[in-house]
Amino acid sequence: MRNRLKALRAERSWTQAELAEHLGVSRQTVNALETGRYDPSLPLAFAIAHTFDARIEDVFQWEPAEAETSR
Amino acid sequence: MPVGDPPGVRAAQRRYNARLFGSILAYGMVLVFTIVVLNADAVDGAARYLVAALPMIPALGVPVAVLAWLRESDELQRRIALESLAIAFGVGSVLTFGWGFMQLAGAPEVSWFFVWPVYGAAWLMSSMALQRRYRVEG
Repeated sequence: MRNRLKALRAERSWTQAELAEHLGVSRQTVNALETGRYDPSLPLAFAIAHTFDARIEDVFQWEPAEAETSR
Repeated sequence: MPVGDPPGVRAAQRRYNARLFGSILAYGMVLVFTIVVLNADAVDGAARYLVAALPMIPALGVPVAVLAWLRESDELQRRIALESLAIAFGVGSVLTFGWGFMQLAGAPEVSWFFVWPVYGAAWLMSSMALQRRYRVEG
């Protein structure tokens, strides 16, 4: 999966800690999401989309080729 | 938990610390009681086994604290903890079971007390490795 988290966060001039605060997760989670090392649970993905007034598919893009080999 | 985490994440960590500390404190107190009673040869038979196993009642608070933390914690922390526990379970099992076979070949008998430290050390190392993988970058 790819995501636009960093860009969306930049549009609002939020720090990772501020976004973490909005989502109720640790800053480490926000960082791992932005650097593509962690894919969120469905509830967290919805919470992220809701935070940015966007739809899930506006924030996260599925990459089928990668999905075949991922966990 | 680093500074800058939301109150909910920090609160879960604080509750875990309190539960863990409470369990260890209670364990220590019961352990002293057990050692004193066993050393004094104050009880016999089944009661002696009971007194010897008594510290395990407060010690149960440790896995309870870990489970509660797993349910309350941030989902990435949960992923790291579960993955490191799975690795530690495998490594610990292979090491302890492997030693059992080595004993068949003449390796020294080792006390069951060593089982938990082996699992604990495996868990510590696997969580450190995974925390490294998910460390904050940039």
